[in-house]
Amino acid sequence: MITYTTYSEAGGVGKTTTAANLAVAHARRGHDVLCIDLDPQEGSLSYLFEVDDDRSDGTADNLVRHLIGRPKGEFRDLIRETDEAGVDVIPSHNMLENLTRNLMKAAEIEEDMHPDDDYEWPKHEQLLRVLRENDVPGDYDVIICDPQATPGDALNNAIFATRSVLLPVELSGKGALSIRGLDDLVTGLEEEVGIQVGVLGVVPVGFKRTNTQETQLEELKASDFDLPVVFRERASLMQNMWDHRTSAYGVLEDEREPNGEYELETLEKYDDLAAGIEGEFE
Amino acid sequence: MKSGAGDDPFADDPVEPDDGGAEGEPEVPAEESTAESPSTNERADRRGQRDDRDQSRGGDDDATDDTDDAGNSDDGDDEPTEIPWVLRRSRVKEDRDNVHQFFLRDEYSAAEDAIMDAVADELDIREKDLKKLDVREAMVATADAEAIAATLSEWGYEYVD
Repeated sequence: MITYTTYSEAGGVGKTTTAANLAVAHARRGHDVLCIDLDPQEGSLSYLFEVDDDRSDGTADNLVRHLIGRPKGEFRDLIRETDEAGVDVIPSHNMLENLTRNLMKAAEIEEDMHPDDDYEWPKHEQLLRVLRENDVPGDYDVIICDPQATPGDALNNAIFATRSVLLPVELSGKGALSIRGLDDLVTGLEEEVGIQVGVLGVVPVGFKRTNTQETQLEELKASDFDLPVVFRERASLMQNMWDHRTSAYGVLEDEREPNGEYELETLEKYDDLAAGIEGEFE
Repeated sequence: MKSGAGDDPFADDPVEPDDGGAEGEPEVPAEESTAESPSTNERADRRGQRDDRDQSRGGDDDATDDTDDAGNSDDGDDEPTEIPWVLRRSRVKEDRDNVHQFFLRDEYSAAEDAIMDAVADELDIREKDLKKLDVREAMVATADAEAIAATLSEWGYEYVD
């Protein structure tokens, strides 16, 4: 079972596009992939795969209801198929914005009702519980969680359920990278959820070969983190993904990308990255 | 921190399997709770009748019990029985609201995969089309108490008072 969470501390560094392209890469390598979108923002993975139609329907069943043990329907019915064969998605829902409040309420009820006075309802173990209870591991080969770029309950649930992280980073600007910061991030997560977290790798995204970026890349290479691939800046390709609501593979196959030939190299990198990740789980 | 993949979250002991959600669900609609009771009864019935069943029917679900079970032949045939269950259902978990955790030692997890492989072969279908839940239920349906007892004895049950 291949399970991981894509996470970056800053938003907008290409976390979701990386998750989406990897999902497609795994699927094309013959795996059944389930993406779990835990990002309540509009521009999320569910938008990219066009399965976000129920997100603002407050009466719709959604993942949060299952996490707090108050489902309105079958868990299976939350899972949506996408146009991309082999990639299914549990879509995001606006209720994720209040995940913390909902989990705290649920915890209060569970703890009140528990015979043991000291019982503490494990808030960050709920995603794993839901996946296990519904035999998701029996139906999928790969699970990718894509939580929003802020620490909190969604991230903790994602990490606890997947145990491994892939860290897309931007080497400059708002994603300004510090290796120390990455170390602290991983250590913080481990303390928060009480497990050892496997770091599949740090993936520089939007690399531009400026001096600053070159220096940062060298530092990163010298660190303990694995750097399976580096993605050069692909602004037009990424923009086309959002415009056409598809993966990089979809953009290139439908010839919506003027630099198609040149960009095939980018797809190869996603294939390599997906293969490398799969290798870590063997 | 560890470089590479973390532990397999689905391999180790589950986290409090019955914690949270399962208990105390004030918001479960009434129809859901009532819908469960007949199937629970049937399950209890079925436990007693299982031995009489032939193997090919062993995997049938609760919903068909009243129509294809010889013991209940006087029941009204209000449901067509021609379409086999695995084709009729829309999801593999349909009617399987009885959730069980399956704890396996590594070697038996591997053995299960081998069984999946062999069963798919036997049925002449792709392994991908074979559902683990069906295989597990069929294992229960076709289980041989004597063989199970023999294996458990080997594991040391013979020394248990």
